[in-house]
Amino acid sequence: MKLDPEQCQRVAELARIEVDADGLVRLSSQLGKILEFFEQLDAVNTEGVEPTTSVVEVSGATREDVVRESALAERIVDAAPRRDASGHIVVPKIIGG
Amino acid sequence: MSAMDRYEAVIGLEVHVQLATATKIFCGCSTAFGAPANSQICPVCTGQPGVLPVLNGRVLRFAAMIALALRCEIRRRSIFARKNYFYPDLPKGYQISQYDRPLAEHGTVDVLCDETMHAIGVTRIHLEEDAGKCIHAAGGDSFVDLNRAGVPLIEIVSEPEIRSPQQAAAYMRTIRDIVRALNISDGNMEQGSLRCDANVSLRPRGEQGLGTKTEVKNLNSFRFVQKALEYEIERQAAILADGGQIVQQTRLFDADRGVTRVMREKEEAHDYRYFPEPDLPPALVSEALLGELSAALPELPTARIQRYVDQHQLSLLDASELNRERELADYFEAAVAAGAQPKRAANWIMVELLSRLDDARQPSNVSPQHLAGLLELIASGKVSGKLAKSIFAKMWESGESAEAVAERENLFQQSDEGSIAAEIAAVIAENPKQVADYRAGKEKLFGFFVGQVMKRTRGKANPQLLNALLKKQLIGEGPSLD
Amino acid sequence: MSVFDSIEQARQALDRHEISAAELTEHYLRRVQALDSQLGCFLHLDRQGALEQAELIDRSLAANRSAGRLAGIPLALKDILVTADQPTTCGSKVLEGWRASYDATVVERLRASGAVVLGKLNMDEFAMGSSNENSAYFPCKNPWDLRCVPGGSSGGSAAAVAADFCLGTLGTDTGGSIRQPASFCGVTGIKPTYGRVSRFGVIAFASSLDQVGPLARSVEDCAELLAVIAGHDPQDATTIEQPLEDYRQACRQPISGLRIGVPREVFSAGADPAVCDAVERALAELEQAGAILVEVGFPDMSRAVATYYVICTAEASSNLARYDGVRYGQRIGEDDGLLAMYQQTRRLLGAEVQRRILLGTFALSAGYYEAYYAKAQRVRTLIRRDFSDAFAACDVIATPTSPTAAFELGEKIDDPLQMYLADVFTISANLAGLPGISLPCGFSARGLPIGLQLLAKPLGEGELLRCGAAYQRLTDWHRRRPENLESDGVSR
Repeated sequence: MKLDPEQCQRVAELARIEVDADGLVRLSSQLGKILEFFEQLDAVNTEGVEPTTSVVEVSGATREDVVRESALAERIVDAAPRRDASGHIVVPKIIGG
Repeated sequence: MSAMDRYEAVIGLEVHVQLATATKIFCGCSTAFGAPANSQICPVCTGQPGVLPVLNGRVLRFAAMIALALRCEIRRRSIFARKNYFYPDLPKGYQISQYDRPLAEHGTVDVLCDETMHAIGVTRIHLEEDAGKCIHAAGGDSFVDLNRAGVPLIEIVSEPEIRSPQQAAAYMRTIRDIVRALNISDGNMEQGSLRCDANVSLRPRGEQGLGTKTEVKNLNSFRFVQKALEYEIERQAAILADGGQIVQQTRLFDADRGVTRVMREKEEAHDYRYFPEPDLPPALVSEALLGELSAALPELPTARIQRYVDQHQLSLLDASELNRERELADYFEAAVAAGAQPKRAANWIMVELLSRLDDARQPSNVSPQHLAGLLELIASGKVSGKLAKSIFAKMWESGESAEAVAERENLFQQSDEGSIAAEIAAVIAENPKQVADYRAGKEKLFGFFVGQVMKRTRGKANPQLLNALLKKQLIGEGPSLD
Repeated sequence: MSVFDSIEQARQALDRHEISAAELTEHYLRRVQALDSQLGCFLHLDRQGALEQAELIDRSLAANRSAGRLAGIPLALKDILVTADQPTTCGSKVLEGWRASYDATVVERLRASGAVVLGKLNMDEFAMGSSNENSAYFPCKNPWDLRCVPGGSSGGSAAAVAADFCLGTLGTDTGGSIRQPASFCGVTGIKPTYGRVSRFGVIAFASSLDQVGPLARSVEDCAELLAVIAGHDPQDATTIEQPLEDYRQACRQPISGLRIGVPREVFSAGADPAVCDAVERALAELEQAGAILVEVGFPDMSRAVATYYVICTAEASSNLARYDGVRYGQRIGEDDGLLAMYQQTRRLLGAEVQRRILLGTFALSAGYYEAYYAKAQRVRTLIRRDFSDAFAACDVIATPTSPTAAFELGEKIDDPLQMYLADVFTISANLAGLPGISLPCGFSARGLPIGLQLLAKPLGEGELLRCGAAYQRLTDWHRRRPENLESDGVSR
């Protein structure tokens, strides 16, 4: 399908990637071509065919509900670009939902 | 005529229940409440590059229990799905949840409201992980704590079959009672173990179609559920009555002001891009597990209430009051099992016991067996109803049996005719004027004599016996004094 | 110092105390330091860590203590595998400076078996690419011809083996990312059955397709490495519980009676004549050694490419959402607010990665999910059926690994679709979760290696090793080495 720059913009917003106006034009044409290539799948008859969600049959074994103290909490917080003295990860103020 | 008389509310609730597991849904981190920020985290629940989730088996077990309790159809292979959106408290940029193949569907829950049982449909129950917590401080920053990220939740979605704010609150309470009865959640709303979003729309009474709905978020107490819905229904009714249109939107309940406010319009609605979670195999529920869980399923609060009415002839009101907490109902049944007459036991529990407990789940100092013992002493006339209250007070303090307290404090009722008669004679002798007045027709004085005898016996005289003997002696038929 | 042609040879020299692990490690470190500036295999070389580990192993070996199956063997890791003691960038600027807090399961297993990890290898950013030109740091080059790409995305892993920078490497394969570079660089590479090797600690590109595997000079070396890294992992719920077969033993099995399926009309239509010729010669040799060639069908390849790119981009769009500047790695633009921070941080992702995230976001978005993602997963089911039909008549299926030998840097960089289409032979195995191997089987007129691909049923690694090892007993393609690196007299 054709992807116009506006649609491309909407997708870029969903993906939280900033694309400038020139980029949008270039990307929408590139992506459009690839999407056209994808469209050959339309011709495949998949009536009554279940989608594959997993190619392995595993027993579905689950984990026991036993606490495993991770010694890594501090290291994980220390890796954050910004954090406060009480151990929070700090980000610019969140506005709205 | 209020606008509400013309419209009927259509309400559906989405209730999130935090399951009382020791560890998170996909990693071994503790779920304990109140730890220092970011102390209960690991690579998995903070979405470090390369990590994978592994399902906590107890989460599946607990979820299957509630699904059975809500009489749902349980899917043997349910599928996890990713719900994609960006938010600083969502470490992976997606929440692992369930989407088109949830664990359970098509259930019902019996909700007692206005002394009537309502069967409310349950659309679905699914498993998911909680997000972390963001604190929005006054300055230009927000602070992220991921201790809660990955805490196991179930979401219970009701059919839009709730018709009033009261019913909505009752539904919430019922869910809370059930998860507590099953011991799968503490149901604590203050700590966020139980949360609720409500969908509400109005339609003209008598119509079957659905109006445009709004979703109200952040309802973290039973009172808020009711208040927010009352406000929202009034708001919508006023708009409709003015010939206006409801705008589909998500609204936030502001508990301080008691109003709902727009959070986002539908056009801004997220596109969550759900797809099956490739890192997790289907969640398998075996027939064996279902058999085991069904067999072990405890009696649910609503069933218990009904049984108290049928079996013990309690009123619906008393039966539901006793079932406010599972611990209280258990206490009642233990007392009955120890021989207490059910109605009396219920009265004593609701008056004497509850007044002494800060919280109905707190253990009682008086054991149910001791309460039954006390009721037995009353029934057999060994202690009076009045003295029984002070015996109970002493039992509460010492933890002793009623027998022991009555014995030690010498509080057994006197039912010995001879000694009561002797006390009556003494009172008659001491009060010749009053006796004369009584005999002259001033019958009101009878109570005075009873009081005097009771005073002499320190309240222990058997009242029936005392009345009978006193009457006789006052009109001169008593045994004569030698 | 003498040349080691195999892990087994080095193992024996170490066990006989003819060489110490430290000497062996030092030898390879010197080679890397002398020659890698021409190639660009390593994103990080851990000289000190490697030598310390080697000395530790030497103490065990000196005391004749069992130090593990790979004790003292120098290896290197694709930089997609998370390591706590070395940086991990996944070839991306967005993870520059990040230090993981834990080791991937495969890394733990290698260490537990005594392997010495020299460093982290170059790759296409987030494993997205077939040429290594998408590395955010610098492209890696083909040791056979420095004008050519080593393939990708595990380009550094294949080139490092070809250049004798170590005795083996680990790569990952989502759509051919082990097999295609192995083919381009003239080395052996295995993509195991999906679920055979743990993905815990493997930075995710497309979760339902990704799989870790070994690259080395020979099938037997790959078997050694696979035996160490494979097996159920309680931290990866998609790993298979079934015990491993004896891979060493499988390498020794004769191939008489082995049925090799050949989808001739498919690959002869899609591949260069030189590639087809080399593969045909290989098949003839295998037939002579007792294998039986049978004609089989193969999934429609153009369709498989479309299916693959819908699924892998969709999964990638979700897997890469976590690179948001909040918890780790780079953060850009936070002074302009949260949204700007997200959008600017994520601009650090390279053009191909952005492109795939956008494609995948689109394929999952409201109104398109059924037509793209769900449709592709249905076609995927059909592709799996095609394979199970084909495997009813054969034990392994043979094709070229890639339609061409290595191409030149810059040749395809501006045409993503053209690049995607070069994955035709490899991606079907990922869609069906099958194991595959690429074996050197000849050279193009220009002197670039050509690869033979064998595919087997799920958990059919043993069949691949059996067939591959037999082939390598018959031929010496896998012993050939590029000649043009030794200009400055560094010994092998």
